[in-house]
Amino acid sequence: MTSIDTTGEGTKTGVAGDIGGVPLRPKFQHAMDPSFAEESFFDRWNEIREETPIFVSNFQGAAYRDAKLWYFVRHRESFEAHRRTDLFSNAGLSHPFTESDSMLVPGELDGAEHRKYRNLLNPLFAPARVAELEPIVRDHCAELIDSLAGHGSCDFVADFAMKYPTAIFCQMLGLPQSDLPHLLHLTHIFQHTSPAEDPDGSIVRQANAEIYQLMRDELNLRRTKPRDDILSYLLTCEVDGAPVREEMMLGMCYLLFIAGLDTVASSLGFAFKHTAEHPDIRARLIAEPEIIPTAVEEFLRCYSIVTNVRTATQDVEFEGCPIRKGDRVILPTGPLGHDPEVFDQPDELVLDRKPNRHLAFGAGPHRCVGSHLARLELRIASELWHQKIPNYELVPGAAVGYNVGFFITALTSLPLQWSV
Amino acid sequence: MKVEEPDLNSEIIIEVDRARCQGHARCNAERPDIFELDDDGYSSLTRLSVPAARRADAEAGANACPERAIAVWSACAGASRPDGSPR
Repeated sequence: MTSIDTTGEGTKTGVAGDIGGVPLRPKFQHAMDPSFAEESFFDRWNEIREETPIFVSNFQGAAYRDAKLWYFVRHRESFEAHRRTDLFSNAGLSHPFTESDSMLVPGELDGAEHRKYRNLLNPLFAPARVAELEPIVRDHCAELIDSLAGHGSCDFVADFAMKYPTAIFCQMLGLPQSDLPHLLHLTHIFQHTSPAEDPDGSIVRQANAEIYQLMRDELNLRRTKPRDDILSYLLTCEVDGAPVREEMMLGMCYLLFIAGLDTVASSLGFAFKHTAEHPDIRARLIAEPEIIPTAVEEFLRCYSIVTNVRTATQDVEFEGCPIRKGDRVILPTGPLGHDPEVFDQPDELVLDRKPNRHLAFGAGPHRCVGSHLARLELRIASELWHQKIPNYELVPGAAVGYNVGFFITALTSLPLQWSV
Repeated sequence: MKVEEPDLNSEIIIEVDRARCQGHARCNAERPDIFELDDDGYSSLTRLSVPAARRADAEAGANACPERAIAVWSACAGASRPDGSPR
């Protein structure tokens, strides 16, 4: 039985009617919903999860006019949906509302094809390989913090959180550090461009094209002169007994760029905003640096910033939802870490929380391939910052900037100050 | 640590559902000497016996798994997953 109320008024919190018994939030799309603005983001997800752990929206994007958006905001159903890649495909995830020919590899592949390309990346980002990068990560991080320490203030996001993972990305891919400003500019576009600023997606599409061109040029340089970097490695890889096609190599580079830069920057931003506002938490990180690896997991749990999106491969009844082929399944990780079914004191930041089975990096076959590098970057940043600039605080009266994106909730500015 | 026949009084068994393992590697982060990884960063364990004295270590690894792919069994007690869910 289906009843659709599209008046959009509904109750105070936005539910109006249902589809097949599943609560309907008319025209809801989290990145365009004013109730998600700014600091209320995680609180608002908590409210929504308590009211409607599962709900549906009839928001209409350009690329799929008749598709519904099925939101799963509680841990148990979201976890299952993440794992059911047979029902919920990643294909087309990078551009839910516009048409585009750029593709994330292997992020947008499924099943056996996904495994072939994922297997090329896995060894590069396995814990043991990532551990070998620690000295490089530490050097980049220390250099950046040292360059800021004497100033007594900075915008933590622009001056540190975005530069740091981008510098490491350049090093790993073998891009010249002189590309850093250009890459930062492109990252900035992805992180800061709101739907209002880019209604037809042309700004982001242009940035996509620039990333592709940059990567294509760098790959070409290595065809004749291989180096010791990821781009050269990709040129040596084979799938199904043949060299990897260039479009797939570019798709992998695109994934590393899209997935690795503003995610770490944003996670750093939320973690340092929390420590800037909570001197007791910061004091403990300074006094007990050995707790930082566990603390990193807790920051990831409290501030899970990614929303995963899938497309239904078939008509299916899933967790009581009459999902049709082509419908989107929206899996925000933000509310999962605060689910009281899974976590005690879910809204408290408990630095030594264990166990901590958060899903900040997703679950199932598409688990974030860079999760171990992200953890390393977060841990080193916390260690070195609290050694070198232990007593920072928010600049009084200065605005903290946010951007609630469809995929990533970003902190766009975090003005910090300290005495020198 | 090598696989041994369980001694009913002094061994516990760790089972990793390799099909569920997605390479989060949280078990290894908790107790690297028990939970070994392959070169891709996924669990290389399928079944392992450890002395009962290490039960807490085995459970720490199992409880860290976001995919709930690890079960810890006492060789002589009723079988249940560490989170209490039925097998």
